[in-house]
Amino acid sequence: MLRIVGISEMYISSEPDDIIITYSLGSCIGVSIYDQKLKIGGMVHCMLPLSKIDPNKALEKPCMFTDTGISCLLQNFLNMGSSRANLIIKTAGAASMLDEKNIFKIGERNYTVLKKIMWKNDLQIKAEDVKGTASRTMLLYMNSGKTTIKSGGKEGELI
Amino acid sequence: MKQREKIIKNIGEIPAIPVSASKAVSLLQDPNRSLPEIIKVIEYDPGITANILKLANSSVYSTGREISSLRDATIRLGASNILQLLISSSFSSIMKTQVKGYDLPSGELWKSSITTAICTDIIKSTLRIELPSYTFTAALLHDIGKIILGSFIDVNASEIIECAVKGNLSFEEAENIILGIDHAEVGAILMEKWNLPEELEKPVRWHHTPEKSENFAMVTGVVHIADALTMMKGVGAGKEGLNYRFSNKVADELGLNINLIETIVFRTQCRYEDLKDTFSS
Repeated sequence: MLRIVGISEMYISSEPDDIIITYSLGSCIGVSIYDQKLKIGGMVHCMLPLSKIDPNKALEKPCMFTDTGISCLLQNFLNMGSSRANLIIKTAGAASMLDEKNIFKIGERNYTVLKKIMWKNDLQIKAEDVKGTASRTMLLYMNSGKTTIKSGGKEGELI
Repeated sequence: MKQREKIIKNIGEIPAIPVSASKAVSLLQDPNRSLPEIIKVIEYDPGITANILKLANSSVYSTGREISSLRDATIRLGASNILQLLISSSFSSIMKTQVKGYDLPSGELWKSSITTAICTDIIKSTLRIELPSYTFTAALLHDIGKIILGSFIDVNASEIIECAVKGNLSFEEAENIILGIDHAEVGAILMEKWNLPEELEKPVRWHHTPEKSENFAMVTGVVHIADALTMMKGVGAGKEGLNYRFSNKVADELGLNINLIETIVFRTQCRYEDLKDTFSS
């Protein structure tokens, strides 16, 4: 079944028939996690880098922000008994418009915050398709654990 | 016939907008409008009253007391909001169509138009600037040219994207090379055909290149930024993705920095979540 992750949302599945999908990531960041041992997968679509913009909103909707959203997704895996070594983490998005002075750098900041969280948790990003001007759709196939990216009408595996 | 002329000829065949919509647009600009006049225009459109009542009783505007008359709702929401809602509803069916050539599923262009319009309101309140009352409507209609090119004329955006990538151009620069016209100009021509006021036409015409606009007005700059921030979120970003250029001039004039930009994006998303049911029905 197709499980759609909207902006500021997250979905976690253990159903092999599920495909988790998030549409048109612009400067937002999408992260997929797959636990290859427990066969659990999850995806999040975060819009803005830091929750300090509105801590109350972050309590209500943690996945709106990269710092609280990624932590929330990660925590869900750890609570279900995942061990860090089994997590395959992939990311896409963080695009930007043509912006000579680099004022509108939401994408870049989303990516930086993600990297910081990875580093703090001693985790690594296995594959990424980030930056540039593309709009990307991210899919996680639960039957194989494969993550793919659709962009400009083409779909390719993220490896 | 060249592609440009063909496209302009095609614009002439697009159906006219409802009378109530053009009346609402002219009332929106008239400082001497009266409440009975506004109510009369609304009554032209039987579908709108329910939506107006819904908005007046929504969490954004409600003061606790349930409102059930059009007159009370108009007083609570204010004349500008009512007229904007009427204009939105008049354009919603045409703007909800699938824009095949640009790879936008049905409803996506409408969602991005509403988000851009809301974003202009948020920019106004966050930066505490004065903007004319038609800013919301201009933002709502800024991409209407895409419907003409992508649905009625069936342009395939892939060729345009290829040209943009090869030449390191923005998408509308590539549209001009391939088609001899871009979606902003097409939108402005359509609005002229619909007899919409020139003030409204300008922000549509120049929303990607505000610095080229003669007698630059801030409304054009604000629509440009609101459109760009909406696309950055991925809303309404079709095949061409984020392949558009930001105007540094407008960013400087508005005094934008990353904190303000993120605040505007955040507030726009919250407001959109609150209002989306009103606009989608």
